Amino acid sequence: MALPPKQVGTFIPSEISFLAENSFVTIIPRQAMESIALIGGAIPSMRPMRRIEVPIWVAVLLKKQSRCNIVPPDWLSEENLKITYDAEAANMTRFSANLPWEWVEVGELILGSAPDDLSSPPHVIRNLLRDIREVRQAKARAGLKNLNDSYLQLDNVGAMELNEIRSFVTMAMNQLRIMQSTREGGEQQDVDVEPDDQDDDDDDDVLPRESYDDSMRTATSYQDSYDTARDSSRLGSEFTGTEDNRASINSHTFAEVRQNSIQNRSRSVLPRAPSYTDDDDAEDADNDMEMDETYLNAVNGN
Amino acid sequence: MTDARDLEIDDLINNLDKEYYSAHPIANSAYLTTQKSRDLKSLVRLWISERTCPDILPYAHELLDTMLDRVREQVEVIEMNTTSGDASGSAKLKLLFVETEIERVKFLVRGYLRARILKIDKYYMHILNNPDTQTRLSQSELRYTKRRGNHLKRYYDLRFLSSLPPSLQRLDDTTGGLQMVDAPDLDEVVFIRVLHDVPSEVDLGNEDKIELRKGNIYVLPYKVIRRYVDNGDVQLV
Repeated sequence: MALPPKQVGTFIPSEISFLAENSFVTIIPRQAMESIALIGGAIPSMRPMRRIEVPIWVAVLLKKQSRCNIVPPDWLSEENLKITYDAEAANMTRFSANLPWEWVEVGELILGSAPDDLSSPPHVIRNLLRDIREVRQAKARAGLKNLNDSYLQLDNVGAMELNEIRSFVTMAMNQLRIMQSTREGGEQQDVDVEPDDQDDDDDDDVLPRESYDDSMRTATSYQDSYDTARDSSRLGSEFTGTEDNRASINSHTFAEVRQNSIQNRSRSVLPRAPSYTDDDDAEDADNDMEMDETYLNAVNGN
Repeated sequence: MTDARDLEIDDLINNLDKEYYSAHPIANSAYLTTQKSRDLKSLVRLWISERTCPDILPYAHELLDTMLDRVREQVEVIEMNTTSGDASGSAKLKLLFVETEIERVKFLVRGYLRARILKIDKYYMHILNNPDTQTRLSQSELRYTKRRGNHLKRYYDLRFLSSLPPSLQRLDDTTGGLQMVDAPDLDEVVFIRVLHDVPSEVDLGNEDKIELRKGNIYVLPYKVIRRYVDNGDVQLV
């Protein structure tokens, strides 16, 4: 019962929303209720009109039964959202710091469950939220142009926004890194490049870097990285070309590429004949491919 | 006028009394409440970390035991209340919250374990070859890994390995510098959020150096950030 594939390497939106439901919100109870002991602490006892803080999921449940009013957080007021929007639009290279980490989810939860508790008409708030989201999405997309193999800084990004670009960024950066190490290997032939192992002495058991260096020696893996490079560039164009439903497209293509790389890997990982453990690399690689075909057939039961 | 004021004062005194009485047992219950909410937060973090980290993290024995005990306690509370036949509205509402929360906690625990099983399935050979990694698993996870390893080995032998030349029968061959065994790739990038300022710059290995300031969000290879994740300066998101 391992994790289902669509949840591998990313969270699905409902999970992000689930996490946001644990954050606290102020409510005004409409009726008295005793304190309830829960696993994650107690819901405090309620008296009408006395404000208390509860997790959002509690607030939503109470609201559904008309037992409380939710006090929307300050940032969710029309006035503050307008200020935020202006701040977002004014600087196209940074996310503004006016919004909390879980702003997308909390905004949706409150709009969905307590539209009558907002200080302005719900559609005004909804439109403002959408505008802000679009400006920020544009920034996130523009930022992806600067993707490199070393790091990416995303200050003030929201949880949901982060999750939307997660699978793309992770995959692209990992592929860039592999391509980078392939290039280094191509320039320096068999010299092992280990620049960053000096300061990390606790990862002796780690083999990724070596394994990449090793895999470079065979023509098959050149083919691999060519394939994946092509895949990722195609993914890039799809990514920028599609406005809506980015998350689903992402995970779809991600899964595709993933599968590809798994296939590639399983091919290069299959047993090799003992006779060509060294010597001429190119020839070995050719043999490798042939051998692999045979093995694959054998595995598939042909 | 006096009546009204008296009433108000009575109310106030009543409220104070109530507050006192509800506060009295709370002298330790408040502590318990913060402790409990801290535990739940840890469980949430644990789930997020296990889902986002390329490596298998140490199994959180104590926290999991505590949380499962508390789930059991809450289930007992539900059973007590349903058998006592108290069908009043407020009792039902109370149970609704208790039940909902149980499901939420169970979801987290399940998600945590399933994320681990995924990695175990993928890296079982690596785990079986590394006693150090084995210490990070729980007893039942380790048992599962070993049995899975045995079953797969037997299956492969039966299906095709036995008909190959002996030199090709190994599943963990390293000839030619190629690893057959899948191991967690610690160079994979992770998303992190910085919780405390880190005084020294972090060396990314390729001339790049970055500062970790509170609130920063980065995407970095897990390897360079691992020690800060372990000491709690940054968290995986």
